[in-house]
Amino acid sequence: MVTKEYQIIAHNMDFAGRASSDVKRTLKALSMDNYLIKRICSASFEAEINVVIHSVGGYVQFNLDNEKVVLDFYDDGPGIFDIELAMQEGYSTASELDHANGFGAGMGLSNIKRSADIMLLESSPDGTHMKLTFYIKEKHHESL
Amino acid sequence: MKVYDIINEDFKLMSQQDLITVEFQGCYATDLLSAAIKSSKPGNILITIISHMNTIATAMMVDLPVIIFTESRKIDQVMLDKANEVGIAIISTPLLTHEVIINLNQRGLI
Repeated sequence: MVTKEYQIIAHNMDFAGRASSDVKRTLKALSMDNYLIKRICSASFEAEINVVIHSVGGYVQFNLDNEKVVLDFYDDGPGIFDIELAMQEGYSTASELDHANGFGAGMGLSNIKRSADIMLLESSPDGTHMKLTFYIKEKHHESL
Repeated sequence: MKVYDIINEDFKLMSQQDLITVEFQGCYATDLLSAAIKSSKPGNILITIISHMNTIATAMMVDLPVIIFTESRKIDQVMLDKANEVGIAIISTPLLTHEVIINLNQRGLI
């Protein structure tokens, strides 16, 4: 069992990806399947960018056991107003600055959903919790 | 194919010289980093105008060993330092994205 926690700083694009980079290093060190690492890191990076762009700050917990990798992203708001709408590819509330930095095209949540085996998303004005589960022994996704 | 196959007067290696032997296969061009996460293949060159730390981070996440920044976009030293640290070759070109793809294709590199 491996557990790690990383702080995610709001609106600081220069540090975005630090948590996901360390997750990748950890998974590589464990010689995990490259395709599984790609799925986990793609989802983790998108989720981390979402916290940076859209929240007032948060953190991610990384948990690994023999069966699965679980990533829990927590932030302190302001929450997703309409999750169903936010899940639609192309819908985005990101700023022009986010676009200039290469993100905010409305693809993040659908990329995450495609990459993870299970994606749970709860949100209120007090904050958002996204739980991503990746099974280690499951066969590869065909869609990524 | 290796980075030294790409380098000429239009394609300048900006990262450290030993990355000239980095290998690649094919390319993916986009200015949306989520599109690169979604659709690029490990080993691809990433061709983009988005010159930002996020671009380096994206390439790290999905194993893209080479980034070509188009239209002579300014590349910050902090980006180059990170790319050098993780072994990603950074190339700068004055060409436009579609011109890069045509050029690499005509030279048989992609």
